[in-house]
Amino acid sequence: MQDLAIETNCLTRRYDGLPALNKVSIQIASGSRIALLGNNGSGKTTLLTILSTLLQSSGGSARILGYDVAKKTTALRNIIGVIRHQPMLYENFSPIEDLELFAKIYQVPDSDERIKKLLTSVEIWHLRDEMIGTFSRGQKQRLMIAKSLLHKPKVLLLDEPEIGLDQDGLRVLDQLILMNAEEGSTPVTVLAATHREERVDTWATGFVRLERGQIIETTLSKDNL
Amino acid sequence: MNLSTQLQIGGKLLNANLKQAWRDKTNWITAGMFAVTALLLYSFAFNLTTGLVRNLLPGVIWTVFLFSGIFATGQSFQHDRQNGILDALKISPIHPMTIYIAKTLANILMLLLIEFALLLGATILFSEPLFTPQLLLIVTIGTIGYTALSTLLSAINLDQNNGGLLLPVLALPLLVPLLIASVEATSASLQQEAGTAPWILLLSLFTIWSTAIATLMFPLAD
Amino acid sequence: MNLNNIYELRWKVLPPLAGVAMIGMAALALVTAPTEVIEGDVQRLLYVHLPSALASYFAFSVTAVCSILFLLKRDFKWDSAAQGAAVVGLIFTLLTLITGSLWGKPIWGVYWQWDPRITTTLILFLIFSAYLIARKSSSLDSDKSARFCSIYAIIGFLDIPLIHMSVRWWRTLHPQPIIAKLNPALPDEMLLVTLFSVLAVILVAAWFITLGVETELLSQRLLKLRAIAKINISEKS
Repeated sequence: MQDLAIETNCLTRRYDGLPALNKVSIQIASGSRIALLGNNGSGKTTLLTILSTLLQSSGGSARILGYDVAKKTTALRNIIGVIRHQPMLYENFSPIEDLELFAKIYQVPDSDERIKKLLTSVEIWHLRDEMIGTFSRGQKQRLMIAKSLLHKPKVLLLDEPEIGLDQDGLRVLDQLILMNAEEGSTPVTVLAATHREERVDTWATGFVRLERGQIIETTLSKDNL
Repeated sequence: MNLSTQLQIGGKLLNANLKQAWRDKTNWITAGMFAVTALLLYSFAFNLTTGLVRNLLPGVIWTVFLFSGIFATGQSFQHDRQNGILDALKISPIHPMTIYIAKTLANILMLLLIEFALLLGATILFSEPLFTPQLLLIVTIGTIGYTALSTLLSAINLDQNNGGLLLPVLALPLLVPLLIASVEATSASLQQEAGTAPWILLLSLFTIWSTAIATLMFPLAD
Repeated sequence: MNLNNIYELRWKVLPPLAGVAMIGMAALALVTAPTEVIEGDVQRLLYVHLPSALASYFAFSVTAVCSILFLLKRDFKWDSAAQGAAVVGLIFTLLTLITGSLWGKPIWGVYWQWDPRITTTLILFLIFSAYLIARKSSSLDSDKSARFCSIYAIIGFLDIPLIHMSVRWWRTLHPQPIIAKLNPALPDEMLLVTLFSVLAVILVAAWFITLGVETELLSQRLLKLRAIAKINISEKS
């Protein structure tokens, strides 16, 4: 099953007894770029949070490139890149300090060059020594794009990556993540929740639409549903 | 990931925690100010002129340390949680134990800084020899002991509304052995009682117990 | 016969057994047991006091074991069981403290004494009250809260020997007010009554614990049913 990047089987999550995610089964092939659509409260964020190992599911199972998400192994965590709804940055650090720490944690080789390259690509290299706390939402989001790519992940789990970005920022986002344009290694699998449906056609190879925690429409094969 | 890389990463993380604590001092300054105010309030309330405060000093010092320390460490993961850093660390390949140890060590170092400064101030205020090597040792062991537990308890996001109030309610009953041992050791050190040795032993025992159990439990709390 | 089947028998076995034992205990403690020569009838509190203390330890052990099982299995029924047992433990701790003070007043001349056992019991009461406050202040099926509280219950339980030891050192290394040292060894008759009382109260505690656990499990079910009802209503509208 090596060609499957993300695979969930009857994945369920309940809050106060209410299912936020109700028996969701999806299979996403390696290298595809899938848009996760749906209204607020449809379960998009819950799905992404479980896949990024931050939330325990109430039932069912999920695998990323063969690794069981519930086991939270180091190997799994090394291959996922995550952008959550909220930026995950040290407010009183500079981008360089923040990325250097995480480069160390992920043991990124040639980290200085990698950081410089990424910060230049997201066009905030000139802000490298400013405090992140003084950044605008869009600037933070650009930094998050760089941070999520730092360790060259194979699977990207993105929760509304467009937040705060201007036209220029959206172009950067498309180039770096959604279009897989970063040179080198194998194509990256992307699962991105989004409300910008008019943009989906430009980057996605398929979509999944959730409503009340269930899949109501998808371009993915339904064999295993 | 092997131990030596884990240690290296832990060192980096400790460094980051300290840098963060140093740059955003509000929390720690508030804790320090709380301790100073409480110390002054105690000395007013117990009326310095009677001279009785000398006997009460060990108890006063340790209740002040515990309240301000738990208050300060209770917020320590709050900040990381609010700006998403805790999530970023949790999804990274770093071991949860490393996250916990780095945060606890940073808390211990910041608290020791505050407590030593307080001891120096109290030496002047109460004209008691409070800045002795023996007392500093007692304070260091005790601080490691209670910070290990309070950092563990602060790590998990309970109800945001009463989280701040709940922490002392949860932590203080567990800390009774520490309080008894440290107060007794302190008064023995000030020659009000005989023998610091058994109390330092009890204090060390509690500290080893709390550090071991908190380190083992933290990954489960994740 | 597996464990589940034995547990199913609780409604048939525990209430009648506990009831009979309680009646027997009352008769033995009030009538059969001889009156203590020095302390008088107040000494009969022993037959409630000591068993209550043991029952509370029993209940808190159940909480600790269930908390460990919850952390291992992540099954919410263990969380419910831990909570149910903690409530019963608190009731018996309170009973121990109250009977202890009532007994202490005529004998020691004070209601309260910082004796190692009393102090440990009081702190036990505080720890498990804090446990319940923390657990009840968040949602029943919040796994974060359940995990946190399980950890807290385990730490609290493991803290008991340390608390007891430290309070004992603290009291023995200090000059103590002179209190009458009474009944070094209980006469055989009293001992038998005491043992029977322990058995009776433990049975009652076991029954209470099953009731407490059942209540918590039903609350869990109620939560789920409410949620389903809510979905149905919102789908109709």
